[in-house]
Amino acid sequence: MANFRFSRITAAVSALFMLTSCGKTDSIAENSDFLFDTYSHMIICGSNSEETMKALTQIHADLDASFKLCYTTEAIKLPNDEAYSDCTAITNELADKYGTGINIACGELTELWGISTTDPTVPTERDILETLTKIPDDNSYTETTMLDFGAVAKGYACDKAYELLTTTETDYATVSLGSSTLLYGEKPNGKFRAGVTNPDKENSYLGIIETDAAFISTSGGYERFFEADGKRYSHILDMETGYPVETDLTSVTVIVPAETADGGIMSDFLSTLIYIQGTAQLDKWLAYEEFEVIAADENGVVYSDCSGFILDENSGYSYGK
Amino acid sequence: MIGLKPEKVSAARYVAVMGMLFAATAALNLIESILSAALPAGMRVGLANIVIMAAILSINLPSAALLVILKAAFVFLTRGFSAGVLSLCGGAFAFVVTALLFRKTNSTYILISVLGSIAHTLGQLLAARVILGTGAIFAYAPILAVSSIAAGVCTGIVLKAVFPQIERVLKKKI
Amino acid sequence: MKTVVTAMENKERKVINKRDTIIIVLIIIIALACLFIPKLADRGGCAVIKCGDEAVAEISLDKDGDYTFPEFEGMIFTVADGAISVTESSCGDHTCMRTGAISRSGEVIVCVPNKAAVTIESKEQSDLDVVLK
Repeated sequence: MANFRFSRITAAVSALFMLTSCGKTDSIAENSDFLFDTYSHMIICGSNSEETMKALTQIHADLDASFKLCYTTEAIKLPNDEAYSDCTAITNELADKYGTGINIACGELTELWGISTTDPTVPTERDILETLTKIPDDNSYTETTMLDFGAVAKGYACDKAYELLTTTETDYATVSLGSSTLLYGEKPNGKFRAGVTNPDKENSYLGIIETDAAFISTSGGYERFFEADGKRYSHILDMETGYPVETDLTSVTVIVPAETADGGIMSDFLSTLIYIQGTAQLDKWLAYEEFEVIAADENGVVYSDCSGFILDENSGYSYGK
Repeated sequence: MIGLKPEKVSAARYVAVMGMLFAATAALNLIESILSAALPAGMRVGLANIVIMAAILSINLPSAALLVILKAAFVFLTRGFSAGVLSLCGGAFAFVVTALLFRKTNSTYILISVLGSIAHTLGQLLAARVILGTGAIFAYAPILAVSSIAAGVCTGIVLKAVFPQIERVLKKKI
Repeated sequence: MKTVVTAMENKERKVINKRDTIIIVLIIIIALACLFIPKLADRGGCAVIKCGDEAVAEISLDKDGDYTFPEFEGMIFTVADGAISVTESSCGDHTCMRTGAISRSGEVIVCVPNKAAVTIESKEQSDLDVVLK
């Protein structure tokens, strides 16, 4: 059975607390769902929050249908899908800016490994190489290419949520899609608090991020993987080798300020890319000012340039650098 | 202490008595499932245990063990796999505890019955824990312990009344 | 064929005596004590539903509603008035349904055939807005 873990949604503050923190004329809408292959949870606080929630749910449902459950589908099936072309275009821009490593045309490889199915298997070396040759390098695709938006879909969904929310009178909102989240607006009594899961211990935290409105995404090998012959294969595939990524990082979290254009897909893209590249490239990533990084490696060291990050003392991790 | 007196009984009589005891177990089991529909979650009356204990007292250990297995098989057939496993495990625990107490100590019927009932419940909880994969079920332990004790008291009283009859049937010289 | 059976001489064994009564009373006291411990626990903020030892979902108890999950076919979990209960189940026993509603940490609803366990988790860390997984 696929290692299915839903996010720990602790945004369920008591109704009383929410009412006092939201404002008298406002209302709070809350919704949970299964979207993008994970447990999603959203809270919207503002005028007409119920309508906003309905609209948001609709947008996400449409997106989910587009990206399908295991994120692989043939482009031929939805040739004019706006989500695909939009998402691909942005991914290409990000690749140009930050580097290659994420490829949305890798659907056939994903299917070969069967990672999102209940029965993943290790393919033969030959099959892998053969499949790799079929995948175009540059995120381009034709009608017969199989697509996999797994690395960016949730971030993209967060962007669409942001776009919707800016057209409403929402005071604040939290949109959680498991490994990608949007923290929107301003809470009346302080900053947002986001927990980062400890990659080694289930239901325990690496630390807490205190932040203003932002897009936050996490990537790691602990969330979804399968085991074969005693070896653990993560669900993130390395495009160079065709095999699941082998990296010395256990978890990467990227925080992008909410005002950044396409911040959601950017955080999702970057968290995966940084994870793939390992500790060797961390200096480069920590130097960027337009986003913040929290990275944990397999030796119990945490690297972070995030000012709002509070490391949990009991996490088993300590600061490096 | 307690003396053991071996006696010979014909095979036919033995099989007949065992068959009767198994039927009694099955009937008591059915009565119990009806009863437990009225009781809060999972509480057991342990009626079938009376038969097992009677067998330990009036026949011998291997026969009683056989009845435990047959009882579990019956539950498995009527109520499904997990119920059958729970019955087997509970019955095994109760059997061991009860047999030890009857053979090695002077304890009263009620005490043995109570301890046997608790052992049965414990065996069931452990089996459920293995099936479930999580320790959550042990939250039920206190309430089940209380009901086991009450059940044990009742079955102990009934046992004392019942088992001499079984002994007599088994050895009746006609 | 003859079967040898061993009879026990149980004439001396009593139905109940003073020593054993004391033992039983002690056991009852201990069990009752354990029974009252959960009642002192806090009312929880959310219910955790597990399949085996994997958490399947966490449901807030603040919002009423019905929930079903692909892991537990035929089961319906209902949240109402800050408590959760099982209102429908495909198991033969329906013990889970008869457990009633739980709302405090320490309380449990369990369905063994479906491998489902519902527990309550209190709000220690629910001042978090989101958790990234």
